[in-house]
Order: sequence, then structure tokens, then C-alpha cells
Amino acid sequence: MTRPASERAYRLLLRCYPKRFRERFEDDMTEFQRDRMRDARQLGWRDALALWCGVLADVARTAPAEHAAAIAAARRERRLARVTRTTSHDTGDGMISSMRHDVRYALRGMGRRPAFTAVILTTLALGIGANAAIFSVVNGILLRSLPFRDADRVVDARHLDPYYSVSEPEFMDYKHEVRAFEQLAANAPADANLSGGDEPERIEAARVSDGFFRILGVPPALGRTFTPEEDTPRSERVIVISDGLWRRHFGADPHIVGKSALINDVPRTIVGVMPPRFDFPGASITVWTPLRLNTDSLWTRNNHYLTMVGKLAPGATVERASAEMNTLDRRWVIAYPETYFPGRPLVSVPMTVADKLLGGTRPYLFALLGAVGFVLLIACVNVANLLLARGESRRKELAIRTALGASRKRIVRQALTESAIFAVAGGTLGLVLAWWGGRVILALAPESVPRVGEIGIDARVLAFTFAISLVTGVLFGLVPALRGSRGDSADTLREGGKTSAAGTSLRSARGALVVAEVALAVVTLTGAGLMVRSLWKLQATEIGFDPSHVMTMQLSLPPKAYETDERIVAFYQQLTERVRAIPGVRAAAVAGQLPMAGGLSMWSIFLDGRVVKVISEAPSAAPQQVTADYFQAMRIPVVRGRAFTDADRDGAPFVTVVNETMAKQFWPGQDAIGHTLKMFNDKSPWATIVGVVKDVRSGGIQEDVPPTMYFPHAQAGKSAYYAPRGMTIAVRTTGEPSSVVPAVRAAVRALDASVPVSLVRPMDEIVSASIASRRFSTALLATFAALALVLAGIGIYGVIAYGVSQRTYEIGLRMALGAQRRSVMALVMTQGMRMAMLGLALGIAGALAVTRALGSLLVGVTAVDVPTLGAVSVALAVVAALACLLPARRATNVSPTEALRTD
Amino acid sequence: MLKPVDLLILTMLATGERHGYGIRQDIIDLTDGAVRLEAGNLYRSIGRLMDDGLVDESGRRPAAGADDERRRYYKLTPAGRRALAAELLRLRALVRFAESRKLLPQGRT
Repeated sequence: MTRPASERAYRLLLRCYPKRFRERFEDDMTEFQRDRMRDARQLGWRDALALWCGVLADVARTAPAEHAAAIAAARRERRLARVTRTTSHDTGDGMISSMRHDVRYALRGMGRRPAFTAVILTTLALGIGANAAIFSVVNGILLRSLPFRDADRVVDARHLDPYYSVSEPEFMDYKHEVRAFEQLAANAPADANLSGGDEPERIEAARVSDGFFRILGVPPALGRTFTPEEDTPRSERVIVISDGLWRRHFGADPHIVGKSALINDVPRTIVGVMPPRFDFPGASITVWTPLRLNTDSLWTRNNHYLTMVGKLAPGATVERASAEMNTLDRRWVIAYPETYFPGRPLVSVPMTVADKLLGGTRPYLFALLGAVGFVLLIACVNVANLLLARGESRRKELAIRTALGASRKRIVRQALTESAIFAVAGGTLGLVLAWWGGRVILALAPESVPRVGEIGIDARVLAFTFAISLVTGVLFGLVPALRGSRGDSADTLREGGKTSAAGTSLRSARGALVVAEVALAVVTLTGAGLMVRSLWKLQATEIGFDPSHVMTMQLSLPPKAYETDERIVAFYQQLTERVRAIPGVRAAAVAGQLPMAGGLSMWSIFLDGRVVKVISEAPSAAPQQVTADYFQAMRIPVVRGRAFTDADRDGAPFVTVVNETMAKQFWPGQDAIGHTLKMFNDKSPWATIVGVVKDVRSGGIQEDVPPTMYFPHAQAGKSAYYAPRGMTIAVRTTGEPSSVVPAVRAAVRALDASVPVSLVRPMDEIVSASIASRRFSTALLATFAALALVLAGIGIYGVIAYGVSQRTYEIGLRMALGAQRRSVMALVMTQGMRMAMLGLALGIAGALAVTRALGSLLVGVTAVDVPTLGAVSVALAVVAALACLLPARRATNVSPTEALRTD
Repeated sequence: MLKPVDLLILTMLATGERHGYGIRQDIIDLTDGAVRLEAGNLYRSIGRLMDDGLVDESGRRPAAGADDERRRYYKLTPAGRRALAAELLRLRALVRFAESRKLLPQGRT
């Protein structure tokens, strides 16, 4: 007999009941239901619906009740079993059982006041979460060790400006003479084209001398690194590739070692693959090749292009390395006067790679840690205040417990147990927030932040969070705990547990806490304010060109096919013509280097026919090779004279355009136009200055503008040593810049499919990337400062509101005696604002002391910045006034008759 | 003191053994439809009364007038009978007290 659907549905419904109940009554209940259905058969659908509604309501009501009963029964059984089992040694562990009792007591108390508990937990979770999140960032970036063996002995060594890098003879001398280094290796960056894939790819390579990999102490994941023989000229061409390139370009081929790759159209044997995360000396490096210095004929001493990495000898320090290097430096300056600029001493600055990689990030992180630390302190103060207020209303209860013989120790422990539970629960919630916040930070962090991939929650972050939770618990728990245990229980009981004027010492304690938290908030706000002002100053800096609506792409001509300057120039000439014809393109030009996309090097030059023998006596300026429309494409205003035209080609008179800084520096008080300059080189021709353009912040928003000279790309082969093969095209568009990318790519492919296009990005992205880290950390700092402000506001509100509720009787009396609403309001407001102003004054004093630590991060503002302090004061005053206003209004609504009756 | 539902169930069973649905129908008749027990509530109460030893099963048998399905019938235990009697006495005392104070509306039996 098949059962009707209704019966099957009913059986399913019965699963809501506990198993025991089902076993007992399932069949009966189904029979019952069947009878009901049978009797209801003749009813209409309306009654059937009512029937099922009744059934559902019945199940909904009785099933949970039956479950509760079942659980209660099970517990009863368990307890019975335990009692019979353990009665013999039940009294043995009084400590544990009283602790268990404390915990249960605390939990019950929390459950009784869900709103109070929620406020405390939220405050703690925010404070602890912010700290854990920032600590996870600090941990990932600063504390986790770098992926090098003995990372604290790996040292980056280079020179201070204007030399910056190291020349070949200098490197060889350091290598042989500096005893502090066990090993020293040089490396130099190189761009190259990797072909063989679907599209030619532009890659960044590092040419490294023998010992490079040994110094870093990182073994390859596959194959080997270079042998000393491979670092000699005319040895076989070998490369080591990065894990990223191996996966991306070679499909993670496990048998890659021994195969060859076409780099700059020359086959090179891949001898090894480095492990993931290895990216020294730069994140974008994907290929390493031997440097292959020719030790028999080194380049000149003034050709600074190498950077060095060394391993300190056991026991040697960075300071010793620095001393030894600088001794050599001073000797060279005297021995080779023609090489080094007079008055610009050669200074070596060795520092550990950790300092080198992370030095720029560290002050930001410390500022952030400071800010979240303050937020946590403020959160502690708030929670302590809440507990104090609550403790006050529990005075009678505590007094009774004391009177009944509870020891002071016991009561303190009870209070501390409660705060520990709060702290651990808050910490757990905080960890969730931190995990989530860490994800948000990761998603928003700019690429320029080093070691972003290392950020995450690990054992150290967990330990830190646990530790600060406990410290927090003790901090906010101790004051109320000690308060609660004090006081004469008899007095309290006689008063009936009410406070009238008795709580003055308590009120002042709570007031002091609020003053402290306001002061902390002011310090945090001031720090954030200074950073925001710095950011504004930077963003308001005139960069000298218009980055909007400009798309940029990097192009790199393969050296084999483009051996001569003519071919290079012709390619870019044709490309700009084709791109200019694309609809939506206003102007297109190529340049050797875009502003803010990397620093420019400085070249020594002669001016106005004055040829000097010694390079140290020659002036220097930054060269820029550009095509005709460059100034239009970038909207760099021509101040005097003219911009380049297509007529400035090879064969035409050699011309150059300089920036205002260069004109002012080299021809002060004169018109630069008509003056001439040439490279520090006999063969280069003199070029005449035909125009002066506005300064461009080429090195970045924060950097000074170097004297800059522009050369037409078509003439650069003669007038500026060479016409660069790798150029960047800048396309000014009428609409969305990215819309022209496919057409430009197609134009490149149509000219030569073997030319790789890379680094496709809009110009304003390049500009914003140059201050992305700063903007990011400033945004975080401002967020934490806002949090501090809100918490401080809540703190003021809490104290004032509680004060009003405690003084209802007094206020009612005043109003009964004829006090005006306004004067009552003023009474409450004054009390709150007095605390706020005191906190503000202390906070400003503190800010003056603390924000000095920000010094290196501030741009265009000093640590004592009146507008910032003014804005902070106003913000705080407004928040404080709002926080007082609500309780003050409530105070004026006190009905005198009601208030007086409560006593 | 018994719950109202328990009292009703005990009272119905006092006049004879019944199955669950029978109890429901009798209660509906008695209360003019004011109390309509659903299965969950009814069997929960029966379970409780059995746990307390006031009600017991009396085995399965065919329902009168229905098809040949067999149902479980319930009966009062001696303890159940005593508990019912005690409760009814208590109620009678209560009603008498109310009558003596003229608390009951007049004109109804």
C-alpha cells in the first residue's frame, strides 16, 4: 500500500522531534494524522490549509520543547552519574572549582546585559583587531626573515649621490681590499627581449658577477647557478631564470635545464631556475646572466653603473665595512682628481639588505603601529570606564558579598576573571577583524610596498594578538577590580546601594580616564593630520605636464634587426605616424624615459664651446631623447623658443631644448636660446638650444627637478651618443586612453611583429603610483585617527550620560527649585567640555612631543603645524560637544516630581 | 496540580481506554470544539503522563467502526485514577469556594 503524499510529508515533519520521542510515538502520531486527514477529506481547501497550519504550529511549538526536555534529561543523568562517581574527592580542588564558578558567574553577568557586553566586545574587537591587522603587516614586511641565508650578514653597498653606483675598477678594488667582506659581487640591470613564445616579451635581467648567488645563499630550485668560469668574457652564454618566468613562459617544464632561450635573438642555455620569492636585486628581475667583466680592460673609473652585494666576514660589522670602504674612497679622490667632482666627496654607504629593501617602509609602519597602539589604549580606557560605571551600580551586590564573608582577593579575582573573558572574547573577534582587515589591506596595498606577499596571520600574529588581549584585559580590568573591592560594605548597605555625593573620588577617576583618552585621540589625530597635509602638499605639487588622457607603452627593438641608428629612428618615425592616424589620437610621441617612471642619469657636457679636460670640471644634465610631438603629447608648455618638429632630423642642424632649471642654472639672467652644448666627448657635435620648456618632476613628485636637456630622437645618435632602441610611446587621446591600446599594438605588429610591447599603463597611473605607498598609509592612518576620535567621543558620552543618570535627584531638585533648562544644560555641558578641553591641552602637548617622530615622513609641513592643530582642536571640540549634548538634553527632560520620587 | 491538558486527557481515559485520536475527538465534544489537540501536543502530554506513571498502554487492537488497522490504546493506572480524583476534589473545593463568594455568574449550570 503506497502512502499518500500528505502522510509522507507528515513523517518528514516528525523528524523535528528528538529521536527518543519519535521512536515512542511516531507510528501513533502518523495514525492520528491519518485519522484527521480521513475526517477532513470532505472539507474544502480552506479547512485543509487551516489543518496543516495547525499541524505546523503544533510541531513548531512542541518539537523544541521536547528537545529541551531531552537535553535537560540527559544532563540530569550525566550529573547524577558524575556525583556518584566523584563525591569522594570533590572538595580537593577548591581553586579550580572557584575559578569555574567565577567564569560561570561572569558569563551569567554578561548574558544579563547583552547591550553592555556588545559595546565592550565591539570596542575591544576594534582595538585589538586594528593592532593585529597592522602587526600582521609589520610581521610580514619587517619581522619575517628575508629569504637569504644569514640575511643580517648580506650587505648592499653603493655610493651616495652624485655617483650612486660603482664603476668596474672601484668594484675590483673593493673586492680585493675590503677585509670586512668575505665575498663581494657586483650586479647591473639590463633589459632584454625574450622571444620564442606567442609574443616577444620584454624582460628585466640582472647581470651578476661570480659569487652573487653564494652571497645570498639561495640554492636554485632546478639545475645550478653560475660557475666562476662562466663569469669570464667569451665563455658560453648561460642564464638562470626566475620561478615566475619558468611558469609563465616555459610552462613549468621540469626538464628546462639545458634547453636554450632566445634572448636578444641570441640562444642562451638555461642552467637553473630560482625558487619562488627569489627576486633580488629587484622584484621585476626574471633572468640572471653572468656579468662577464673583462678584468684585463676594465671600463673607466668614472663609469658608475654597478651595484654591489657582499657578505660580511664572520664578526665583521656594517660599520667596519663602511670605514674600510670610505678609507679607499678618500684615497681615490686624491689619486684620481680628474674622475671625481671637486667638493662632491665619494661616500660609500653599505647597509644590510633588510635596511635597504625596507628602510623606506619602516617609518610608515611604525607610525601605523603607534596609531593603532593609541587606538587600543583608548579602547581600554573606554572599557575600563564602562566597567567602573557598572561596578558602581553593583556596589550593593559586592557589599553584600563582602558582608557575607567574601574575601577582597576573591572579589578582585572575580572581577579580573570577567575582564579576562572579555579580553579573550574581544581578542578572538579582533582576530577575525584582523584577518578580514588584512585581506582588505592586501587588496588595496600598492605594488610598490615591498614583500606584500608575506603578509598574513601566522603563529607570531596569533601570539601577539593573544598577548595584547591579555595585557588589555589587565589594563582595563585592574582599576574597576580594585575599586570594587574597596569601600566599607556597611556604609554602602546603609545607603541602600545608592550613590549621591559619595562617588566623587570615583567620578574624578573616571574623569581622569576620559581626559587621558581625549589626549591620546588628539595625538593620533594630529599625526594623521600632518600626514594628510603632507599628502595634499604633494598632490598639489605642479608636476609640469598633464598626465590625464595619456596612454603609455614600452617598446623594445631587438638589437640584431636594429643595429643602426637609422633603422631605429625609421621604426619610431613610422610608428608615430601610424599611431597619429588612429582615430581618437590627438598626439603621439616616443621618449627614452617617461617622467616619474624611473630616475634619469646625469651626463657630463660642455657648454658654449668651453671644452674642459677633466670630467670633474664639466657640468652635467639629464638627457632625454624624444620625437617631435613629445611636448604636445605630454602637454609640457614651451616657455620660450620652439618645440621640436619633424624637420629636426639627421642632417639638419643639431638642436636641443632645455628645461627652465637648466636655463637658470647654466645661463642665469640670460636667454638660453642660441647657446650651445655638447656631450663630454670629442666626436659629438655642438647642439644649439632652440627652446626652453617648463620643469617636469621627472624623478617623482618628491624629487628635485634636475637640469634636463631634450634631444630629437632622430639626431640623438650623433648629438647624444646613441638613439635608444627601447623607447616608451606616449599617446594623448580624445577619449578613454585604454581604448587605443589594441590599435597601437596592431600598428606595432604591422611594422614588426618581433617587437615586444610591455608596461601598458595610463600616464596618470604612473603619477599616482609614485605616491601610492604614501597615500595608502595616510589613508590607513586617517582611518585609525577617526576610530580614535569616535572612541573618545563615546568615552565622553558614557561618562557624562552616566553622571546625569546618577545625578537625576540633584537635577530634579534644582529644577524643582526653579533652575532654568538652559542652566541645567550648561551645567552638564560644562562638566563634559572641561574634561575635553583638559584632554585637548594635554593631547596637543603630547602631539608636539610625539609627532617629531614622524619627521622623515612629513613633506612641506613641520611637526608643529598650526593649521593641523587647529583642525584637530575643532574636530575634537565638535565631537565632545555632540557627546555632551545628548545627555545634557536628557538632563533637561528630567521631571522634578519623578526625580524626587526615586529616592 | 495537573496541567489543563493533562486533566482533560486523564478525564477522558477515566471513562474507558482510548487511542490518541479518540481522546482528541472526545475532548472536542466535551469542550464544544474549544480545545482541539494536535498530535505533537497530545502525545507529548501522554508521554509525560506515562513517565509519571499516571497513564499506561493497554495494547493494540482494532479501532471500533474503522477498518482493520490496529491502534495503540491507553488506559489510566491506579495512580492516575488517584491523581485525577485528587485534582477533581481540589477543583470542587475551588468551585465551592467561588460559589460561596458569589464569584460564578448566575443563571448557568
